[in-house]
Amino acid sequence: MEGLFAGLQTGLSGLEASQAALDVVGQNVANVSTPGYHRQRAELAAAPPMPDVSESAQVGTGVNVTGIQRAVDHFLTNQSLTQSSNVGYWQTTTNAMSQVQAAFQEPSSSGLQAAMDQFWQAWSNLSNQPQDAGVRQEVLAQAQSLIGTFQSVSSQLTAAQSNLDNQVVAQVASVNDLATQIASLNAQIENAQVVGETPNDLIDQRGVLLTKLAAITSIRVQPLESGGDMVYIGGVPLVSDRTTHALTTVPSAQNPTLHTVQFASVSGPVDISGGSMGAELTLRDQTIAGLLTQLNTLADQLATAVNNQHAVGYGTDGTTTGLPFFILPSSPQQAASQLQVNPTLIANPQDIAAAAHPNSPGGGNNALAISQINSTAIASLGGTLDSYYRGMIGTLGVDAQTAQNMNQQAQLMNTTVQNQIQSISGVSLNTQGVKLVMFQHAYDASATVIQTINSMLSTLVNRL
Amino acid sequence: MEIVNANMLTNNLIQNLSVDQARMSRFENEISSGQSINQPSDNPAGVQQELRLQKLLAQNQQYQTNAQNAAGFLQETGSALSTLIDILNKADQLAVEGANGTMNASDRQNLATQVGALFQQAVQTGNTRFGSTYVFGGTQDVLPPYILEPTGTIQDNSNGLALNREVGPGIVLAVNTQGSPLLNNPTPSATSPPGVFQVLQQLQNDLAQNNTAALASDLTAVQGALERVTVASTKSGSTLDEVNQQLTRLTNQSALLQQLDTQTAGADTAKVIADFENVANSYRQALAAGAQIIQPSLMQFLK
Repeated sequence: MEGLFAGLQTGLSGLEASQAALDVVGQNVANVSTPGYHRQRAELAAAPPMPDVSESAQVGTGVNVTGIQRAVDHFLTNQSLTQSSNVGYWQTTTNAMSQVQAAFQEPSSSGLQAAMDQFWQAWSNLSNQPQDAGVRQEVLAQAQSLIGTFQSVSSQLTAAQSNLDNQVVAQVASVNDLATQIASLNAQIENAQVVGETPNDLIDQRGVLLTKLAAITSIRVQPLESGGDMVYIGGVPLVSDRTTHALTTVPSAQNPTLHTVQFASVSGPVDISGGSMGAELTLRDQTIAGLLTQLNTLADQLATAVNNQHAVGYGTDGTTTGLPFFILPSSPQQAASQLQVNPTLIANPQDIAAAAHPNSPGGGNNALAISQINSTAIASLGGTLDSYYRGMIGTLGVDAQTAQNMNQQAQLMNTTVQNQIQSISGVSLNTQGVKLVMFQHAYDASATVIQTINSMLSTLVNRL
Repeated sequence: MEIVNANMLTNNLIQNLSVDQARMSRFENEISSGQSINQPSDNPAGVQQELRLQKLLAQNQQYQTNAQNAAGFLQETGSALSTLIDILNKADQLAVEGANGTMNASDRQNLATQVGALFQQAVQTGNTRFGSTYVFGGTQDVLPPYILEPTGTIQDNSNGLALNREVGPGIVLAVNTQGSPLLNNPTPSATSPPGVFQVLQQLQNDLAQNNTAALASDLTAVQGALERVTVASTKSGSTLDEVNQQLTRLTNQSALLQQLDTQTAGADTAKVIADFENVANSYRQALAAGAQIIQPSLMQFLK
């Protein structure tokens, strides 16, 4: 039989365990809405009995708090990172695509389709009234307006491209910042675990940072025995336990005004697939770059076709021939932004080759032929200029619509995963309330035990 | 899945509200613009159709403009040709009168003066303009096609080139009537009869010189010219008919295209408003439910 003092120790362990459990309840209640917080619970276990050879019956020595556990499902945690990347990717894509669509302003009376229609109409009018100076001015004005529309679409696409590039550069800085914080948390978590602590709140903090990182780019997280995490981007470690390998941006080889993302210590671009940065790179290098290529091809083919036809016609003086209508830039891939009307024609509108024959100041058959380019298939475009442009806009529409649908789906999936996480790791105030009552009463009871032993001791000391 | 706290309900509420809001914004856009396609992603197939219709409408409008111009040109040509027919008819009468044996030299001189006036009128008619274009001059319109020189010869500035108008997809019509050799042919041959000017000049000369022997052949020449001008007038008239028919077709097509355009891109206002009301309703209900999300928990009852 143990002494009465041992009973006091048992009562004390009960008080301490209840207090620890109440502390955990308090922590849970305080973090009921904290993002990334995982519900904790105090793990209690009965303390082993004192070895006593004289008695066959053993009485324990109270209760021990063996640890404070996080309620976590690692599968859902990984799902959450994937969904975070998806949401980041599609949200960024949706926003950028609506900006790109706005650049084209279709369908409307101010888009490229309308500008092309008006340009061909001006030529058709010129074929009716080739000797009318006003109609010649109108051809020049519509050509300028067409060039202006090409330039406006092209410059808005280029601006969208460089906006995305700026965002990429800014996000590389965010990634490095997050990586540094994660590495530092890895160190703190490991240090705590070495001395037997359970750094739950640090792990939660790291989880929040990983989610933020995943929203920027797809990552793979590999937990280490030590409690640290390895974080990989495109198969290369960004965070390697306590150290980081920073990302950096270098001017792109294809287009020096844009930036390629790579690891400072590894040459060659890094494969950034998901997240908002993945979306920015895809939009910048594929979607918008592709649209710009198509736009330039369209402008180049249109101007070339008009020039070829214009060169075989004659001006009002009956002899001027062989002039190009447009001046094309040396590179066809700058046609949309740098196309110009031949300044000779602006200065001398009478040299616009409306006539198909020499000495035909009243002839408009060449102007008619130019207006018919509109309905002529161009081999390298696989159709007419119009059908090529319609195809461009159709594809853009499909891409933008897909992005909108995928964005909605990603948001929905993310909400589902977040709710699953809540159902496992969230704090229920009802449950915490019950625990509050339970541990409060346990505390009271342990105190009563101590009080009882105290009165037993006073009986023993004073009455004997 | 076990509902453990308000966070989950809040997540769902926010998700649903944002979906409803996006749909309301789309419907609102449709109602206010009157268009069901406001950007390509609204209906990628529809936007291609819409751009095609937009182009077809613009082309149709241009064909109508061209056809109206062609019709004007042909009407002007037609009235010039009927003036020439009148002139030749009068010349025919004068030739018949001149051939009458009761006439003397001074009577014929008088007739010659009248034919001379008709000749002047014919040259003027040959220089008829539509707008700034000489209808018989071909593609040359700097100088009048026919200038009467003091010597009595005609300076011919016309060329034989066509003035084309595109009045439909691929439908290109030459609207002008060639002035030469119909009006002016100074070097006639068996295969190439003299022009109206030469016929009148010849008649005038023969009348003035009282050359009665030649008047019979002059009369035949006048009648021959009359026939050729009438043929040209009929030909020009049938082109005008064709243009007018084309105009009617274009007007009908334009109405059809506009109808298609409305079907493709126009908003079905009644339906959109009904849809909008539906979403707005579910949005309001979601908000009302949202206000109740934070329910009292056990904590409120612990004293």
